[in-house]
Amino acid sequence: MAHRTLELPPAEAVGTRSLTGSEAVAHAIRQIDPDVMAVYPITPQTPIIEMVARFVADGRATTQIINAESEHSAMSAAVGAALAGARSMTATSSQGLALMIEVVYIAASMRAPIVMAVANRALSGPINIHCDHSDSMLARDSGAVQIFAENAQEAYDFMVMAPRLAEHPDVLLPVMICQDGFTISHSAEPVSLLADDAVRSFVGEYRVPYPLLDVGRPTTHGPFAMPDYYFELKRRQGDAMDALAHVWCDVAGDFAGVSGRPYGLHEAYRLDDADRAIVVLGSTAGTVKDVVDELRCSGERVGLLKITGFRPFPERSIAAGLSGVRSVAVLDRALSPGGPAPLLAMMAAALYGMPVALRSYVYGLGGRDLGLDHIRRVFTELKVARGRSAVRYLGLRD
Amino acid sequence: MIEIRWHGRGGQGAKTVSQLWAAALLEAGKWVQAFPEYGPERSGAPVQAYNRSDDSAIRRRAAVTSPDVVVVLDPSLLAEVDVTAGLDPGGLLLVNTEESVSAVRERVGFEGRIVCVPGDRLAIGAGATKANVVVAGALAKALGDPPVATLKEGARIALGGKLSPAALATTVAAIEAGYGAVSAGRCVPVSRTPRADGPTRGLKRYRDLAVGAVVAAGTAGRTRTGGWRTGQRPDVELRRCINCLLCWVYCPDSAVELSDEVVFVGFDYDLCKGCALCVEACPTGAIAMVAESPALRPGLAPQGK
Amino acid sequence: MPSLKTMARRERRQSRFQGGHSLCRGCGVPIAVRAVLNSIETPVVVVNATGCLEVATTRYPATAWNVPWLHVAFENAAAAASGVETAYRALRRRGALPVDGPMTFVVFAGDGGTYDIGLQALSGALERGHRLLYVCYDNEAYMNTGIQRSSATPFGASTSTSPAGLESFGKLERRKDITAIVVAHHIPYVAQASISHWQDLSDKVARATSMDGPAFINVLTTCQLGWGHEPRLAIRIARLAVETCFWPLYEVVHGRYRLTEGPLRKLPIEAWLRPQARFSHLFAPENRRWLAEIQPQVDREWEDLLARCALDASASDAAREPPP
Repeated sequence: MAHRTLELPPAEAVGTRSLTGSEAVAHAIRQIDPDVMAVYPITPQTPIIEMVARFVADGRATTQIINAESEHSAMSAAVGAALAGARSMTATSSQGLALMIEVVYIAASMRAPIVMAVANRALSGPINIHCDHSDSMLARDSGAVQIFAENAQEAYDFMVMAPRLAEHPDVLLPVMICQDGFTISHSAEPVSLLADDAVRSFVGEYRVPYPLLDVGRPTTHGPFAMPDYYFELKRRQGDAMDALAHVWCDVAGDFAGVSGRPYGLHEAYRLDDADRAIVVLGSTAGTVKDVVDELRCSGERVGLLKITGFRPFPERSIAAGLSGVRSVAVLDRALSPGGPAPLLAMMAAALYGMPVALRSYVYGLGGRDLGLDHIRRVFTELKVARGRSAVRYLGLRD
Repeated sequence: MIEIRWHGRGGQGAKTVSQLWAAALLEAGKWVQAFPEYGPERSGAPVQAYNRSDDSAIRRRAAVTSPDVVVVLDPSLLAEVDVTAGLDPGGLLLVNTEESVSAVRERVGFEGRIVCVPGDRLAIGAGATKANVVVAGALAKALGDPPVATLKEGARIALGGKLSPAALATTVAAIEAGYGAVSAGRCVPVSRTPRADGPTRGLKRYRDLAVGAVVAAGTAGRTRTGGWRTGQRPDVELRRCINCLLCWVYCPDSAVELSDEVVFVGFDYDLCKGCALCVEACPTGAIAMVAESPALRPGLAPQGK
Repeated sequence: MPSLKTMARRERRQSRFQGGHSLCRGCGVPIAVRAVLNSIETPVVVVNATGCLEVATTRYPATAWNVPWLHVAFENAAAAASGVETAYRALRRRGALPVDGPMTFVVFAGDGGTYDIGLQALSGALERGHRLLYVCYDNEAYMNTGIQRSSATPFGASTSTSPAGLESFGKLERRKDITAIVVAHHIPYVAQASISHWQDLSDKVARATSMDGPAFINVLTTCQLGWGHEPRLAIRIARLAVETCFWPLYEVVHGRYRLTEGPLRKLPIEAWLRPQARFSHLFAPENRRWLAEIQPQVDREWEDLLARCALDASASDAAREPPP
């Protein structure tokens, strides 16, 4: 393999610089300096693990990297390391997440607080390397927390927050920090980094309640549960996800104190007096914001509800945020063949009983671009929306 | 609708006999269900199987929690499992045992009808290896249904593909032996009091479970597997023991007890499953299997919670 | 070399694996587990693949394990153990272990979890060089799910997915040479052992855990249900596998093959096949020709192994001789 030199900013530099989403996340990992990172390369996540490997090779991070022979093993090793008592991370995309998925469910049930950097990418087939959210949707019911970033700054910020979310004693769950593949992961834009010391003191020490390596207090992890206990154990696991909402408030509050950047599990953008709104995940929210501003200039009462917390889904605050809106368009970057698209289904449940028209749009599969025109069209169609309508496809050659 | 619960040990054919029973009742024009309970237990562990039968289609898939009939294939289970759980006093308890009805009644505290059949002895007499079909024969007689000919036909249907003609003939003989061994009776469906929380009664609430299903180490020792023995236990003649420890190293159940000076002192009958590997391993012939009465079998005291 | 007394003292001090589990009467697996765990001096951490051992020893909320124990899934025991071992190194380096000191990481996996579904994770862990002792308890089929054939199932064995019938004599294929596959990873220690030979097994565990790198021991482990024999015959049948040279006891230390216990006299393979119901159909007249194929297979493998051992012995002798 040809030697490549990655251009790395000096460690002590703090401030705003131009970074891709991958680089921003890799810097967060360097600053957190987890004990173990178990990885396997896959586009478009690979730049993250390459950069972390370079940091370690140059002595700028002390993380033990496990170059696993598959994502399944990478996630399995992360579970072993996390439960052993070491702060553990991994990174993946698409087929890699698909291969991991068995272990993601198990990690959540074993309450392994693994931070997972995800660069979202379409699932095969056909094989495609570009962005959509089908990989995250595959993990929807796994029990892992899923936080979606709109841009590189959010990807960095959420990554810094992730250990505290994952490791909170009421949570102890895998946390996926999702950024749109290529659109964010490979696009450079200004990112403001915190000082290394600030990150280290923000994340604190790693603690799990029953570290496997405590040979003086041996514990059995991963037992066999019959119908007499399985249900209770799964319900017990559900508490962890329920706890995340208040834990998010604490962690995001502390983070705002350090960074000056406050975050909620959703973002209401110009919704106060809106009669029409778009609901969307990830980088598309930025494009929608521009269209909202433009239409607002011409007096249209439109707004955006960006979903940051996909799991847990902040159902009540979303409903409250949309309480005055007459019609809502849900933009899904994934399909659920034979059923409503995933985000639409959740929104329909969240808005149940509210006098609001709901429109379903699917867009952007396999990296298909979503232009400003598409979004303008959605807002126009919302003017006449009544009740529920059949799904529409944005940017598809009909 | 008649609901039956079969109690056996893994390997005693509780599931097989429930399927045979269903095949026979189908022959008799009934609608039937037969289903076992699956768990991590291996041969020797307590297991359950169930039957339902009715004149019209059975659609319910819920567990059988208040059976009309309970059949116990291994008498040692009387001390290990709450066999009469959910059994109405109007129902029937049929036990494969050499004990008398009054002895069984005293042990289980059941006030209703109890029928005892010496199934093991009758099976041996018929040349069969398992008592399950003998007990099925006895059950048919005790319930008055199905007729023995139908039960035998059920055996041919359920087992014909698995057994040689000779083994099938033995099975049929065993059914007849069981049928002839008890007095005729009749089944009256009991009034059922459904118990929604049935088998999980008394277990911890979800809130009280440790995070991540973590279990504190070394708690299996409280599980008594001594009941898995099938009528024989190892016995040692200590003066012939040379303390070679081969019985210790080859015991799958950690049932060989040593002193602090690692000298052989005896067997832990709460744990010993009676595999006899120690007998095979012993170079001096100090260990032999001896018969034990199920009623007197150590390791069968009711478990503490 | 651990003696039985030493092993017994260790168990007396701390029973690392308890009775009260629900493995079958006369199961060979706990014999292997106890022999392995009682041959290790340091504290032990166990990682277990899904299988009989895992299911029957950890029915929630009870556990037979008195040492730290982890189960994640079927195919990933070696990967999960890689994570545990790496965490140990990371925490030890920064002085953050709950209890400091050396530890031994032991993986227990069946043949299905090793030869088949877990082979990739095993290969990865070996190549990465994690300091693990991987113990395969090889009972030659998927016993946990009801005796289905694996790639460890011997030629001719009848299993529920390779049943002997009118048109079949059981498994049509020969078992895979997992030892050779593992040896090809250039790890310091690989061995084949049997539950029948406790001293040989215990010595191998001691040597394996003294190595600075991955070690692999494949232990022949009986299954009375799957093999179809009286529970009490487990050790006798395991011993016959060794005495017929179906299962030679050997080790490969830094790539050099060495027999650790040779049979005094090699018994015909039928002596091992005959007491097992899974091979009983081979003795029917119509299957005799398949039965006849087995002895030459065993002979060939045994001769190859002897040749390999002789070659490696002379190579080490040559290495010791001073240059002319």
